[in-house]
Amino acid sequence: MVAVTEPASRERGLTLTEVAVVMILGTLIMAGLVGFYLSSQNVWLDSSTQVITQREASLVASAIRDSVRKSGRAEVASVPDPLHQQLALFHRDEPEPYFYFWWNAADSLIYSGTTVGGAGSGPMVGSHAQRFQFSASAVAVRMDMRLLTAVGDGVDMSAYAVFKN
Amino acid sequence: MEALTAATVAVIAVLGLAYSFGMGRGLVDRYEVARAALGEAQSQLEALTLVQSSDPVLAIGYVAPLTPFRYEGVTRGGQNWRVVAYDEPNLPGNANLKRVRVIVRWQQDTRQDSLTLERLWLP
Repeated sequence: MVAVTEPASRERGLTLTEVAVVMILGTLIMAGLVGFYLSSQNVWLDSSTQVITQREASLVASAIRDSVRKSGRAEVASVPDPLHQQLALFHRDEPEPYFYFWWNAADSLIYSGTTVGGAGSGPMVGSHAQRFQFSASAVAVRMDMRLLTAVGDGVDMSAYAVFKN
Repeated sequence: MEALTAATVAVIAVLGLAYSFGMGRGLVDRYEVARAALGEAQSQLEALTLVQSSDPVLAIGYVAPLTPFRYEGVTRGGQNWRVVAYDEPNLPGNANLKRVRVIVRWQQDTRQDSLTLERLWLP
């Protein structure tokens, strides 16, 4: 009797070692790719929220600038605190303010309206404000604010407007 | 061989995606400062409306000294304005208006950026 064996060249398939090596390498590559992708996605998310907040900051600055130009004078009150102030706008020679901008401590949003907290008032944008400050002179108002993005980054914006009315 | 090709394609795709995200982030940062620079220029022009048109700082040919442009507490560059003559063809005479040009220049990383905002003034 002679033992018959298949020649080595006709063997097929993968050894356990080969499969293990391929799986380990594949796992490492996939882990790297997924980690890289997730960090890139975070960058994209940060960018998107920052763009939204920048636009909102521009919108608030523009609205305040337009309102100041329509006014004759302004009064600033440190309500509720010096970092978050309230601006009251007056027509010239009128004793009562006709429009307000203020920061609401309950939700940290910037509000505007004809009365503080009354009907016809509401938040201007969805970004929370960390700082909302004014300085008013006899001829102009300067506004400085810092809005926070959804991930907590700050966006600074300032505006200067002259009374035209 | 197929696995290697697929892995290469996947790596290139992910790298490309990551690069585009990074580029987007860089542009957002760039325009954040540009937006602040626009606010600075608008404020400067607004402040100049308080000045009498006959004031020397609004005389044709005047070039204002450079003042710092600050954003988030850091000096990013400088801004100034210059006044040049402007000829509006629908108005009588020549050089019948003044053009006030506010220029804000700043540096971000290695990139030099600038922004110009103009407004016409009655002489």
